[in-house]
Amino acid sequence: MTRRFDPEQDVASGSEPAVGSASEPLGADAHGVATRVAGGSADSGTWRRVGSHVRAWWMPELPFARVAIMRAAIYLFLLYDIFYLRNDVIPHGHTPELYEPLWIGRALPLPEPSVGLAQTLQVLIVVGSLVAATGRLPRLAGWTVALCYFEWLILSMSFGKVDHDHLALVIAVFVLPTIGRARLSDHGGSPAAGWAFRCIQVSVIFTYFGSALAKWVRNGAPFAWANGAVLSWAFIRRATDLARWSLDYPWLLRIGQWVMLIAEFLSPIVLFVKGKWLYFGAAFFLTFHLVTYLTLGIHFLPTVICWLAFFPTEKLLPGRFRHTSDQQPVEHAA
Amino acid sequence: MRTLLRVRITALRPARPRTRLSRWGTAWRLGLVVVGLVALVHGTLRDSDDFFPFGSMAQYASAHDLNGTTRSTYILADTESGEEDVRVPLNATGTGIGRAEVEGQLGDFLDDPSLMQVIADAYRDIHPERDQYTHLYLMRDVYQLEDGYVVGEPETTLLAEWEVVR
Repeated sequence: MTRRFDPEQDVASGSEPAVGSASEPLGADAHGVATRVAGGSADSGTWRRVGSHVRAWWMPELPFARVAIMRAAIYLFLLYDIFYLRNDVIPHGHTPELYEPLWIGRALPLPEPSVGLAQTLQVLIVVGSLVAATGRLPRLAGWTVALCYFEWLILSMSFGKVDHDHLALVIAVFVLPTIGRARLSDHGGSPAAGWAFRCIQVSVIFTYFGSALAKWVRNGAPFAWANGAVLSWAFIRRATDLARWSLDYPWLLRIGQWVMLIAEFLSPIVLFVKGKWLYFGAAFFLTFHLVTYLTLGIHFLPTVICWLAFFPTEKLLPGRFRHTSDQQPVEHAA
Repeated sequence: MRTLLRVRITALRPARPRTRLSRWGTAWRLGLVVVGLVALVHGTLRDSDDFFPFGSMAQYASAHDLNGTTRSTYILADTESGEEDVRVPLNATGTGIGRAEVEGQLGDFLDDPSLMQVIADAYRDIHPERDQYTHLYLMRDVYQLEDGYVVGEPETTLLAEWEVVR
């Protein structure tokens, strides 16, 4: 799927330096000189530079066409999600006695689960997603979907079990509306798009890094988890036929645990690399999801779809849409 | 010439998306980043997934003892047509309640087995055409591990039972 991308051009490379360098040197220098003259110890110029780098990293300018593609992918995926993955919300309406609201459900006056509520949310999510997927009414449709889908997930996960594959997708539905208008045919890009994509990327990576931290917190030492029997436990409970044989090789499972834990701790590197290393990182984690799906039936598709935020998907568009890069200078000239 | 033409087309576009961020637009975005990261770290350190979506990513985070036991909980049922020990589908499409959700609220089920009535009722609501349950048995299989190997057959325990009320 990713092979057709040009590895030299990636998410961060496009215009990131331009944002930082264009505005930063003048202000920083002026400030630096000022503090040095005053003999101050804290170099506020350094702070400005750091601030400007932070801003440039969080808000690179990304093309609108990429936003349009991401919206189509995310909003259409939501339909698949509510009908095939988190499809327990309407059935949960039959068992309101077992509703144990999560913190957010106790903090906010959210409605109690019922079949009617679930069906209403379903209709709103379907209609809103179909509109938002086309790029129309990005804010109205986008925010409607975000709120309804969030409530949908709360109703799904407030019955004694919370899954962790939805972090990036929840963040995606909340940040995509903030970009505003973005069509496939729109020229140029914006830092608002860059911020939204960074938020999705960081959420994807935190899904791995956070799980490594959780293993550390829960077991008292960073690597204690890897020497346990968690995979044996998981395979006894829910292994597919493809995986049952491995229960006879616990040492193999322990190696698997070490590989997973180390990869999770190293996952933030993916946020800072480009080209082939980025593709390698993505391939590694996507393969990991494929393996857990084949062996345990755990797919993590809501996280997988969000990996799209790492790639210049607009380069896959047919030629007539591919104007963003060569048109930008023209706009400046105008 | 071509450049001129393009400039004109660009200029004539009726609605152009915004390409710059205001100072305020930058500020609230960076502010939300900080709040979000703090929330994620908070959920992780509290080791609680109560704070969804900013809860701890603690799925499969407990290291299990290589010489410990592994438990698996499930519900069996007798049915109206006289079948015995049928496995109750604890998933979204079967009863609406997943196995992990039953395990998550296991204490409640043990304290008050009448909660199982809810599962029988949900099954009747969702699948009125199927063979309905008359008696439910909350069961647990315990597998013994030795050095990571499963040894022997699982030990099965009846945790609670409930005569379904129509």
